[in-house]
Parts: sequence; structure tokens; C-alpha cells
Amino acid sequence: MQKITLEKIIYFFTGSVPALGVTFAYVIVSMIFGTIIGTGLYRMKSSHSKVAGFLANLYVTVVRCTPSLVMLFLVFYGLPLLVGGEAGARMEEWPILTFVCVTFSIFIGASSSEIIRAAVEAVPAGQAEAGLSVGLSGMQTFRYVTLPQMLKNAMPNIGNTVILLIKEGALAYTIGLRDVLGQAYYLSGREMNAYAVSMYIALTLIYWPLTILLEHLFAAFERALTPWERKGKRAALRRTAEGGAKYAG
Amino acid sequence: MKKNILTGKTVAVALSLSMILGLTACGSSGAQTSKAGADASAPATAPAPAQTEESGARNIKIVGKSSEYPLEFIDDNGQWDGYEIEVLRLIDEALPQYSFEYVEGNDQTSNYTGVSTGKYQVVLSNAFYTEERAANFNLPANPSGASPLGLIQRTENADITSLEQAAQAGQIFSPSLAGDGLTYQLEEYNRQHPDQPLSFEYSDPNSLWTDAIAFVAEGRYDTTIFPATYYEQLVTAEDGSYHQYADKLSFKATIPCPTYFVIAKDETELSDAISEQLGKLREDGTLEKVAIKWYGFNPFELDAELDK
Repeated sequence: MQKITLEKIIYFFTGSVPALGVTFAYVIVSMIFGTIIGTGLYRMKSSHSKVAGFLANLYVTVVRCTPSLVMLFLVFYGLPLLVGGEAGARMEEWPILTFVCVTFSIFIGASSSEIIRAAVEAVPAGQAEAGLSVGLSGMQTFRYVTLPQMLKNAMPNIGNTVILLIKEGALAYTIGLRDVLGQAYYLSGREMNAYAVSMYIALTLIYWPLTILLEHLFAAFERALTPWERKGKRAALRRTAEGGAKYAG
Repeated sequence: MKKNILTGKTVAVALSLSMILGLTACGSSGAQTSKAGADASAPATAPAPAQTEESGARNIKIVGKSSEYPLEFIDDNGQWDGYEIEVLRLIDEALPQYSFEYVEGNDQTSNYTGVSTGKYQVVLSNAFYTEERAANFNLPANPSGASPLGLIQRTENADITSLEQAAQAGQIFSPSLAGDGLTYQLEEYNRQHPDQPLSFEYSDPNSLWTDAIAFVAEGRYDTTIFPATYYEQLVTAEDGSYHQYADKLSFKATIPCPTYFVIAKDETELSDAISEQLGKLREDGTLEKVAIKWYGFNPFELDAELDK
């Protein structure tokens, strides 16, 4: 059996943690561009144009049906060939991180279009109408009435997407990206993989707290977006307690 | 009115989500992000300083794994080093028309894909001759090194040293990487001996061939085919990463095996130029010297003996 030693776990942990910067870089960039693509897709889907709707659905289906590793290889090796010529040659000079961001922006585009659709459609039209009827402007209605509800609806899905992206993105080590997994594999390779199990334990100790932290962070965002719900719950609890006391009294 | 609100909604939702996510992630990674990002990815594409100074030379991208000691690896200072890198640097010096750039790629299948799609021109993998490689890539006429092969056995099976003996004893080989040179040796044997083939399965992880050392020692599989250059360092050497198994295992090189730089199919001129330089370096004894420096023994000599 390979020996699992605390010394090696610490070695892989401390050696790989600095590469979290690379992980965060592709997560942030891919989420931003993915959301922009997703917004475009949602607009296309909700438009009256059948062609736009068809194209948006086609995009989502194709991306959903493609494993992320396959998409990564298609973008990294195929995109410059597809573009061809001088532009393709210039593309070959892009840093690996750029290809990774392009790949996962394409991915997030598909899933975020659905997240946006769900978030928008979950807010009843009556909410906006109520806002307008009490004299708020269109923007004010959006800012104070519909947006908080939409964000609240979307937050769990956004959190899941970010966590998924952190884990899926680790596949980019295969094309030479040194994110957390890539860095751990590099360090392990330097030791001819003799302590691979210690490396995997160290990776677990990095990914677990990170994921738990993100879960709590997004839950906190969700709560912050709907303060009235908490107040409402507290008030309801108080009423129940008071009612109970009266009844008992 | 309703339509306008929806239009504004979608744009603002997108922007708000992006900003929130950006702020979230920035907040949790802090100022370290860009620095760590730059540091960690820097060795991936950074050419060695010597290569950037040549002018008018055509840039040749050479992809290799960053931790394939002693063949090619990135050291603690972020510089490429190793047997194949040292040989390539000597060739680079002799070929003013080319400038070699080393690129990090950590999956063998992916690296070969990069050479066949034109992203890279050369791949380093201690590559043996295989018919598929010869058909799909340029293998220079002159080999870049020698990597004699043998079987790793548990000490009780030490007398089984050849593929024939392993086949006769019905031994089960540890899983082999598809398309790899080590696997090709087994496949080639089976093509020539269809009546008594070797027993092995295909698998994919990069660490498979070093995992095999532990697999054999622990009894999970009977044997594995392995390069002598690595066995010496990993198992025999006292500071070897797998030295803990040294008492349980035995190894004897029996199969001569030259290694090659694998060059893109349409790069015949480059392949010929590299081959010519390899011939010169072999003749004047430089390759042997570099090999002894990295492997601790002369694999060319052992290869030549086995070939007899």
C-alpha cells in the first residue's frame, strides 16, 4: 500500500492552495461571460421569432449533450482550426486559461439561460403591476419589487453552478492548466505519483471547505435579498407563541 | 409598458448577477488571485530566455509533461530541464533557423492531439516506435535516446524475464495505457504469438505505469513491462519514490528499445534537421554523456548489448 503521511498531505495542500487563484480566475470570468450569453439566449427564447427561439434551444441542447472534457478539447484544439488562417494562428498563442474561460462560458451560457428564465418567470406579473399602480416608475418597480425576488429565486441555482464549475474546471489540467488539481498533479508527478493518495486527501481538504464556504455564502446572499421573509417568519412565530400563551392562560 | 420592463429586467438581472458573482469571488480570493494565477500558469507557456533572443527563427512549440523526471520537467525555478530538454537545447543551438519553445501539457493523449492538430510541432514522451506513430507522425530516422525494457516481477518470479516466459506462465499484466509504447510491445508480441497471447487490459490514467510498480509488489497483478532507466531511479535508488518495494521486486532489462521525438506529420524538414543533429550528437558521444548524467548509467550501451 502507498503510505499516507501527514507530512505529504501538508506538502500537497500548501503547494496546491496558491493555485486557487487560477481556479477563481476561470470561475469568475466564465460566470460573467456565461451570464451574458445566457441573457442573450433567454431573450432569444422569449422573443416572438421562431428562428431565434429554435437557435437558442439548439444551442442549449448541443451544449448540454457535450461532456465538458470533450468541449474543452474541441475548443482548445478545434477552435483555432475552425477559425483557420492568420486569426487561427494568433489564437494558438492565447494562454491556456483563455481557452478554459471560453469553454466554460459556453457551458454556463446554456445553464444560466435556464436559471434566468426560471428566475424571471417565478415572479408573478401582478408584482410589477402592483408596483406601477402605487406610482413607482418602471425602473423603481424593477429595482425594488421584481429584482430582489428574481435574485432570490436564482441564488440557489447560481450557487450550484459556481460549485459545479469549480469541480468541472479541474478537468483543464489535461490541457496543461495549473489550477488546484493541475498543481497537485504536477507536484505528485515530481514524486512519480508515489504519494498519490496523500495528494487526493489534500485535494479533498481544499475542495470541501471551499464548497461549504460557498454554500453558506450563497445562502447568506439569499437571506440578505429577502429580509422581509425573516421578519415575516419571526412575526409569525411570535404570533403563534402569543396565541399559544393566551390559549394556555 | 410591460414589454419595456421585461427588456430592462433581463439586462439588469444579467448585470447584477455578474457583479454579485464577481464581487463574491473576488472577496473570497482576495488580492492573491492575480499573483497566484500568474505564478502558477507562468511556466506553462514561458519560453526559456535563450530562445527569445534569436531573431528571424521559426518558433517551434514542443509539448511535454511538466513532471516527467528525469526526461522532461519544470524545476523549482520554473525552468524546463531533463534528458530530452538538454538534448533539444543542443539541437536548438545548432539550428539557427528554428527557435524551440517548451509548452506544458499534462495528458499524453491530449499532447499527441495537439501535435496532430498543428498546435504543437513536437511531443516529448520517451516515445517508442509504434506503427501508428510512424504512420501518423514524423519519427526522425535517428533516435533521441535509448530506453531498454524489462519485466518487473515479485522476487519469487524473478526467473521470468521475457515476454515468452510470462505468456507461458499465464501471468496477468497490469493495465496498459492505450496507444503507449509500452503497450505496443505487448500488442506486437500478441500479434506474433496469437496462440499464446499475453493477458492485459487497457486503461487511461497517466500514473498507470508507475502505479504498476505498487500493483505488482502488492500482488494485484503479476507483472508489468517497464523501462530500465526509470526502474533504477524509482526502485533501486535508495531515495527512489518506490524504494520501499525494492526487496519485494526484481527487474532485468531484456528488450532493446530506442526512443524518438515525435514530430508533426507535415514537418518533414524539421524532422530531418533534428535527425541530422541527433546523428551527430550520437557519433561524438554527447548523447551518452547526457544520458549518464540523468540516468546514472549508459542506456545506449545496454540497448546495444540486448540487441545482439
